Amino acid sequence: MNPWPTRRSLLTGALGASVLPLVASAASAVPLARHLVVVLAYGGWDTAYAVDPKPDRVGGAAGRLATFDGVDVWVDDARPSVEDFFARTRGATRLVRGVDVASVSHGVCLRAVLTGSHEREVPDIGTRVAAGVGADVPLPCLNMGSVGQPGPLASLVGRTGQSNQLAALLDPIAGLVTPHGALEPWEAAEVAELVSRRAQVVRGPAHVPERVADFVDTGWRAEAMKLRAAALGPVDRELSWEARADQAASALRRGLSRVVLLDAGLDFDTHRSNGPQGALHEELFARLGTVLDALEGRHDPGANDLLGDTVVLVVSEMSRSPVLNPSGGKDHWPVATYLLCGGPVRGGRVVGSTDPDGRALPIDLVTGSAGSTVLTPAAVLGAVMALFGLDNPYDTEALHALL
Amino acid sequence: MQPPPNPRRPRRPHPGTWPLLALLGCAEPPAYLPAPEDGSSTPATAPGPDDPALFVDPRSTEPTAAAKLVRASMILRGVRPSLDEHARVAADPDALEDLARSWLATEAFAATVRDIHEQAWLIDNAFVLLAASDGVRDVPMATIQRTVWDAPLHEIAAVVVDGRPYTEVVTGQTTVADPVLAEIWSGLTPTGAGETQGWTEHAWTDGRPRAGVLSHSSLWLRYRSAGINYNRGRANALYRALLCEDLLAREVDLTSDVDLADPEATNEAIRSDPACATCHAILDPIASALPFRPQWRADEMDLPFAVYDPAFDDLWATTSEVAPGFVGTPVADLAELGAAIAADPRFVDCAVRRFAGHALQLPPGEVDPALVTELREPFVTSGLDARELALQAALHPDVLAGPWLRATPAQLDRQLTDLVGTPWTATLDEPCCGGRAGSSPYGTFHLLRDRRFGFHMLAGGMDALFDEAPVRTSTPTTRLVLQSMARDAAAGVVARDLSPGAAGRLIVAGPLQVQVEQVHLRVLGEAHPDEVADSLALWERVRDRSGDPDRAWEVVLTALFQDIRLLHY
Repeated sequence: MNPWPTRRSLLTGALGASVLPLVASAASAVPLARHLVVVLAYGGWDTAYAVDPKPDRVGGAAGRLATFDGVDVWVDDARPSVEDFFARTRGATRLVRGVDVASVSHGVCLRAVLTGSHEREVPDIGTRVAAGVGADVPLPCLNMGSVGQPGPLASLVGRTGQSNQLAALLDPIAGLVTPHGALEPWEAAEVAELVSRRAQVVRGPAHVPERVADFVDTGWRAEAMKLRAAALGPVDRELSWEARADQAASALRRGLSRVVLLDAGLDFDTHRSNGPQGALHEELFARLGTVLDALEGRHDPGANDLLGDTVVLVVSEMSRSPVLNPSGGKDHWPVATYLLCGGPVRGGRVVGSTDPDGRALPIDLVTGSAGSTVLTPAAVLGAVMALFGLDNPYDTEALHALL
Repeated sequence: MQPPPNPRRPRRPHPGTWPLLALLGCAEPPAYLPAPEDGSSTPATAPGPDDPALFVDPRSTEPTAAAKLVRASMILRGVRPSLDEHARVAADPDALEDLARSWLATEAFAATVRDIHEQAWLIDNAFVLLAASDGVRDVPMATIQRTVWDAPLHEIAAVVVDGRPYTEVVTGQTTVADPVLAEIWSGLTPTGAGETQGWTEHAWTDGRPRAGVLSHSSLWLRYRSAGINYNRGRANALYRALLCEDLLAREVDLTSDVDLADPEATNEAIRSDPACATCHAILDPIASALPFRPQWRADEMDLPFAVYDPAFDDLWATTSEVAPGFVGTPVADLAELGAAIAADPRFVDCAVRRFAGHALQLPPGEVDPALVTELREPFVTSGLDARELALQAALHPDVLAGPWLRATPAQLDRQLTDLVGTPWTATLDEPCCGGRAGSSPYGTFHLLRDRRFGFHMLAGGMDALFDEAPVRTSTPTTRLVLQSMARDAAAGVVARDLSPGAAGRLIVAGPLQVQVEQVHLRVLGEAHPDEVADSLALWERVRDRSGDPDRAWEVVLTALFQDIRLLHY
């Protein structure tokens, strides 16, 4: 009756073993990653504008080709943050182009780039990494955005909510719900013990042991989250991007979480006019710079630099069609580009490519050069798992060339 | 509104259920199960997971009558059974069907119907804001949001609860509206007919074709079109919700030789290249039958706003140049499109899949085809009365004997509101959303339903915009929400039930032992002596230390209201 893959099967990789299991970075000089920050650029960025330069496909927008240690990017003085970002991460950035998402539906493509699958119950990469490296912290995966798919690993994930509701829920003073005051500590302890004990002894034919395990497990996680509520910062309902980036870094730095999912808060879905892609790219890379600032602890003199063991994964669910439509906009295009940076990323290289119309070109997954395999999100995400020393859980070979 | 007649249809047995449950680990010793109904004794030593005894005693997987009652009640109403209902079923387990039938006329069932169709249409979308201006300037934004997004669901629920043929969902001549909605959408005129919970019957009188919910402005606010895509996204939303098939989920293959840089070649491919035409031949004619504004910004909305505009009636002639139609049959307008959908056998199958999927907590596509076949027959025989469908789905043996289901945030909201007597709400007096849209304060909202400021997503709710699957287990934030909810609910019950002169709703007059037993039965669906004893002991410890019996009740109830059995049923 239960159609899901189980948490245990996912944690043990029973759903799909790698054709060539990877031992991350065994022969490399880069450290194993400990933290993951996923930034989603929703709507389908026009990769021709920056990360997959195609000067004749940007509708006449100004720009020039610039190369940063082997990573070629389309930049322009009107989009200084793009150039600043790649200059700053020079040598620590990789682009993965020509990833076939096989759909033009936002929802399906989001699922594809984040989970490596079109299926609904497959966990996203953040949740998988959190399960692999973060089960010891209270909230292994903090979803600060609007998109995520934890599947059977949902007990490891929590959302902040659109209006920072998680901080409000954890703050007994500023929260939304405080009319009756808290229980006395001894009362709360008795209640927690009773609730947990009852969950473990309740039985019946409908009983599902994994649900009980999740219930008990999330009980201690909830209590531990209360102790680390300060990691989420102020309870303000409207957070600036800088505050959100600080919140994300704080959650990682203070051991609340190992993975953060962020939504850049921009809409790249430019059907009516493609012109805004320039400004959107400028804003996106400015925001990415803010994330790097937060991870490096630039706003907090006492904070340690997290970037050395953090992978920042930036992705949009698709790209945009090669030509303008009659309205001057661009429609959906089923090819994605991933951007990875951070200390554990062996940067200075582009993997995968597209033809002049933006079609994905097949590659060799080991060398990254031209080959016979169409690059899929699962291959990329399998390699991301390897950056954390985790086995490839997908039923496809990983993109070894990313390592 | 009368419940449908009881056909007393004999039920087929459900062979094979218990071994499957055993494999899922569901056949552990039923510690709180009463003795089997045939009077035989429960084994003194519980079998282990590998014990072959598990495979020879199917009785160990049979839920109690009380467990069936709780599950049916949660599926159909989202509320826990009353003490009277427990007593009826304890006295006569066969009373469940008559009880369940009586629930079909309740507002709680209507809310369940709205939940089912919210999952189909994914309407409740906190990301799209409406300007609070003109006639609704003083209406709290939370109310506006709730009204606008719930309106199509209320229309569907009215069709179902009134016992009208389910096809009226897409062919109906009327809708329902409350005073706020009538200020927001132009074209709504009261018919003077029925009223339910503040929603009265209205009709669209601005010339738009009447096709049930397909005519609803709120639906096409939720599904605004990119314009240049010629309503294809809208067409797919309609196709997915009503026929359970998501054409956009199909894989797109770009390996054909079409020159995608050439618009004319692309347009030709849409018509003739099998890789493109398969979907476009379905979507484009449907899209051409949708005469609504493609898109607009919130600050462009001059209320009441006209989502329907006759200028878009024949827009297809200058855009896609594909005439309106439905799977190969031309249609003149939206009304004919609705009728064509209603006549498609997949429409009935999809309805069955949605109601069964709700009962089993499965996506419609994963419902067993044999179950679809089985449930379709009484549904059709009833004249497509979806109350009968809902009832048969909820009481199906495979549903009643299945593994735990997980209460959705909406079900958590309803069951707590029913137990406590008041909903769990909060009020924000500040203007909504940084003043970007409208100037009214956000106002009072249900903490478990609201996505923008409430805890809907933190409690495991589905993200409407991105079509995520709802969470089916506990999460850390769910536990935090449950704790907060339980604390408030407990305080609310004590304030109401134990105040001088109050007629107790949950805590009824009587000896403490009986009070605790009844609270256990009402909240948990069972009153096991060991658990009752635990609660009594806790009650006494708190009373002894605080000297306050009310405080003792608050602590005991705080534990009960966050019990695993309120999350899983």
